[in-house]
Amino acid sequence: MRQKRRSYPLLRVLSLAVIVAAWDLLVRFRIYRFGYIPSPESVVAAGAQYLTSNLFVTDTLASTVRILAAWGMSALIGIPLGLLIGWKRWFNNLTFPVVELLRPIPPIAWIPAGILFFSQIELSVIFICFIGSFFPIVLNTIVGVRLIDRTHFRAASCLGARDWEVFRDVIVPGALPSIVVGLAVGMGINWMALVAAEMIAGDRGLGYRIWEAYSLAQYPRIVVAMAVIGVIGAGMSVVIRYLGHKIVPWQQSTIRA
Amino acid sequence: MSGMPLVNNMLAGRVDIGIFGDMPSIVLGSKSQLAQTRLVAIIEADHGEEAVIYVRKGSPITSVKELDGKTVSVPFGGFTHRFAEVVEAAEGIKFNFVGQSPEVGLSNLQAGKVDAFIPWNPYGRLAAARGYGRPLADGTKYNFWSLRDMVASKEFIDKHPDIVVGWLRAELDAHKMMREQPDVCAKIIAEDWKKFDVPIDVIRPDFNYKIFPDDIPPEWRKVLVDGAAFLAAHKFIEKEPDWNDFIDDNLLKKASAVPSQLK
Repeated sequence: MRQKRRSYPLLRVLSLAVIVAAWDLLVRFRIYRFGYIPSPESVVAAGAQYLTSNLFVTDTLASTVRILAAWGMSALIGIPLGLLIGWKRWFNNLTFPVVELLRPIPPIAWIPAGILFFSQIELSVIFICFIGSFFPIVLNTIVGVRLIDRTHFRAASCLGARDWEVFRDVIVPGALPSIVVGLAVGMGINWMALVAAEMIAGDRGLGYRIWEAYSLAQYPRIVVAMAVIGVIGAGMSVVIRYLGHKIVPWQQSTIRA
Repeated sequence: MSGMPLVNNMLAGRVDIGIFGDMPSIVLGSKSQLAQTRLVAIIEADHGEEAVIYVRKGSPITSVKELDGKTVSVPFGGFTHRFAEVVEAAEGIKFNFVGQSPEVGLSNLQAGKVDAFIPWNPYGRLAAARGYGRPLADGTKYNFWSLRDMVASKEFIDKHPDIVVGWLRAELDAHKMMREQPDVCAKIIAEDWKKFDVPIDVIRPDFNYKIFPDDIPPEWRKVLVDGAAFLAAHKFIEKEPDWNDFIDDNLLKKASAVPSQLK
């Protein structure tokens, strides 16, 4: 039975307003080292300039395409890999140690390898983002398979299901809620890896713009680009959760935040 | 610009005196509403030897003109970016720029993803020493000056003028030594850099072309003004530094009046 959850939109607006007000006051009265942080006004001014420029459109488009490509690749490789690792013990022993070994390495550490390995700058950038989303997707998929009730497997074999039928009817639908969580988390981490990835981009992207603004001490613009990443990242998470809700309506509690 | 972490620290009030290239110091000077700073001396200058275009190993390119339309990695906003535009104008060509920090550009040159790479040192020499690239041309042909400056916060100057004057006196003595005894100076540096394992043959040639000036002459003020115009044209800075405030050679003049401490 679906339970209707109450939502408080006013509280959401309020929490944002409190943050902005606190930021403004801390900067205005130069409390501790907040005097060095750009003020909300300077950020709004930089925002008005940046958000109405072509730069904003090309940056956002470039970053979004990179993120979606990296995320798509992560899903394409990560989900089947995670399903197999979670399902087959021998495959787990074969691959999981490598996954665990590579997982803690931060995306930024992959930059030289990414540059040298790929022939296109664009592919190197996507690769760095890919590193960010790949592991959460793999791990959540593994967990999804592990959490499937053992009786489902027994029932399937009692009914004479063959391996691929177990895979299709038990493993995939059983792991789906966790996969959706992995996809949402992966998308978030993708955006987190963006600045590192786009340090090598060369001319466009929201992460590149942050890096450029840092290297030119244009602090208000950094905050604007941060906000844009926050908004788009959050928007994409909402879309993924919505789609996840459509795909696995029987398991909404794990997906909804 | 590798001077930018230092600029950020000076803007944050954590560093009082910094020595960096002309472009970062202009960026710092343009942020007078965040921090008041003064360019108090020029530490060294060169007439184009430090601005070198490298092409990748095995590249068929033999002249700058052939780089027309080719992909060129420069650190955006740095002096080599400005140099690249001077070259474009002089040769009547257009580069396809990618803005990359020199570390990133070096790897991209090695991977063959860019046709040319215009970094500052040590990345240029590193590219040549490791065989990733070869020098094609430098700024000597283009009358391209670049400078390294010393900038101090106004607060520090006001509070401790004697320290700054003392530093500048030592700087002037060092300049004199570097002009007159380059071999001795190269040896001192090699000794100091022992842990980096830099051979003296790499250090010594710098003294053949670097100029260590004792004042801030008008032609180098012009280098700074031109640099600021370049940064402003790219909207890398919002406004040019207020030159009359920013360039301040009073302390340098005071230091010149103090007797040399050299034995």
